[in-house]
Amino acid sequence: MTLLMFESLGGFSNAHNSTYPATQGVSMMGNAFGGTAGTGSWDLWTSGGVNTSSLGSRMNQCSQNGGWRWNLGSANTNTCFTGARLNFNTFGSAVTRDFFQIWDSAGAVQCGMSINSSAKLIFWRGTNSTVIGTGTTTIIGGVEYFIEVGIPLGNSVTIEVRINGVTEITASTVDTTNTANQNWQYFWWSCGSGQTCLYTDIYGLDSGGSAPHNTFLGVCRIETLPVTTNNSVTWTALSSTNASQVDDTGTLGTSTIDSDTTYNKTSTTSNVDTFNHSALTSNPTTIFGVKVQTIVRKEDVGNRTYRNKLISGGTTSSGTTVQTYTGYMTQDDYYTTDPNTSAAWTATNVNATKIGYELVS
Amino acid sequence: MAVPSFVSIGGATGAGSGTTLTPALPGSRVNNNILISFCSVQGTGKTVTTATTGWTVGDSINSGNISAAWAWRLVDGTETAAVWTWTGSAANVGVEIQYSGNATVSPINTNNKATANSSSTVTIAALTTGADNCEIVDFITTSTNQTIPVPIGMTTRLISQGGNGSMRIGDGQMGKAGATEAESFPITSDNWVTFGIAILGSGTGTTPNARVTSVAAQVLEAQPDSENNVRVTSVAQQVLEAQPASENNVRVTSVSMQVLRTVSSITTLPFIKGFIID
Repeated sequence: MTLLMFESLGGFSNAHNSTYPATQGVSMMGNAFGGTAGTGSWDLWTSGGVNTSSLGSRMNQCSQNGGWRWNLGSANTNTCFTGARLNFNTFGSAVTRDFFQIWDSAGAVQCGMSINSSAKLIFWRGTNSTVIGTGTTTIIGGVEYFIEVGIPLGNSVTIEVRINGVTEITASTVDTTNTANQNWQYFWWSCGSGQTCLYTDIYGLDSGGSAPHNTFLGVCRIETLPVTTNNSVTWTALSSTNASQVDDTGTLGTSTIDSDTTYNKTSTTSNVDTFNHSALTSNPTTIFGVKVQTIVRKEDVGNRTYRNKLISGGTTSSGTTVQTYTGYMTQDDYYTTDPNTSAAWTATNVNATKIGYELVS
Repeated sequence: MAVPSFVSIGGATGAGSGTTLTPALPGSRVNNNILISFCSVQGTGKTVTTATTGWTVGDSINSGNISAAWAWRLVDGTETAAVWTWTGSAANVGVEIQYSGNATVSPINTNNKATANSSSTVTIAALTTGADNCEIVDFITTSTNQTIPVPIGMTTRLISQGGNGSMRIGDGQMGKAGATEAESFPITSDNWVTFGIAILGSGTGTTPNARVTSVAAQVLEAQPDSENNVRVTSVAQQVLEAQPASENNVRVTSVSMQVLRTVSSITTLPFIKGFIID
């Protein structure tokens, strides 16, 4: 495998914790966290709304055992690498607080990370009482950290935890498996009871791909580029322009996702809308990937399938065709390279892309 | 005319043992509305049936560790609750639900069923309706006390949990004839039964739209140094020093003299004298 996912969590809230696709292989904003997510999906359980990161993007806040979980959908034996920007803004009293876990294909905890009673980061197996490694940095409430972890699942492996791109914990010949399964399927950026955490810029990948998507990415960020104007449209806007109906991405300065308040609709198959979007704020040294994210539903229980569209240069790409549901779901399609050049993305090429969607059947 | 709509549901009922169950009729019944009664029994190979006047058994299943059945009838003012029976005492649960806007002739357009033992995934097969404007009703029951997830896109009408078995009923509208999507979702490993029922409405339906409410691109990028500037908002120097004597002056801000004395009688005489002369 390779880059598995990334997500800014920008516009999502409890209001979207309703229905979810169980096995359709699509990403989804949140059912209540309870071990019921499906293939390649993510759960969001938040009770604190959103906040703003130092980079101006929205951070999703959770508390009291809430969190954000990725379900790969199948067992993975490659090393798991994942990172996130965190702010433990309500730090809690001097007890050990879990904030990360990785689970096996049966949904059982393998290992995880916590902040101990001395405000040091610890890596553990099974529970936070079986400590594998302890960091030296004193974690401070209200301060942002970019925390990354690389975890092979095995009885004698080497793990590494980084804070802000610098090694914080490394431990060799350690056992990271607390069950008989030497695999992982879920990782969970969470928030233990008694503290509140803010999350954004979450990525996940495994060691099975090619560079740079097979190891730590370092401190990185996710920019969300909302729709600005129509490129070519055939769907029916609820009002005004089609672009104005689908620009509610929740990024800073725009509203949160407004569901049926503004939307475009069609019952005609092969209808396609594509849009221009805002530009990157700067010229990044490396663009690890681009994804098109749309939020869609159908109006009754009859079958409706749908896919995302990406136009880069002269190349039009279609995302995975998926079922739609009567409740809004999120559909993500990832592009680690520019489909028009088969090379790494450049800022110029990202800024020139058109994004949209198509009713397939 | 249109798709049938949910009206009301009776309370879930059940017992830890017995050979009969009578789920309560839903309230606010209106003539020609359709009633559907469900019964689930924790036992293998039991023939769950009802002979109550006016009720028609729609389907049953007894091939797994749960035996179950459903029946329907129209409201006509004479209806009584369906009395379900089986042989051999077993734990049981059941419920009755009412819909309006249904066809009064052949109101059940199509239906399906499924079961499994000790399974952690519930599967609801696709239903292919033969006419427009059907209401799709999904009934799911398990052997043990657990929360059954709502089928995707369905509106929940009943959640019932207990040691005699758990139930969930959800429904959704389907405007045009065609296939629903098959669904599956995880549960805590258990025995389960599902029934899918399409209640026929009337008239010509409309093809459902798909709606899109948000479109965006997300870009994962290395954080550029230009976005990690250090900001300084204050610069000052502080010196720890012995306090100089010159900074320890005594300041006087007022000097005056006050005299305490007796009052002289001579000073008052001219005034008194002059007053007398005038």
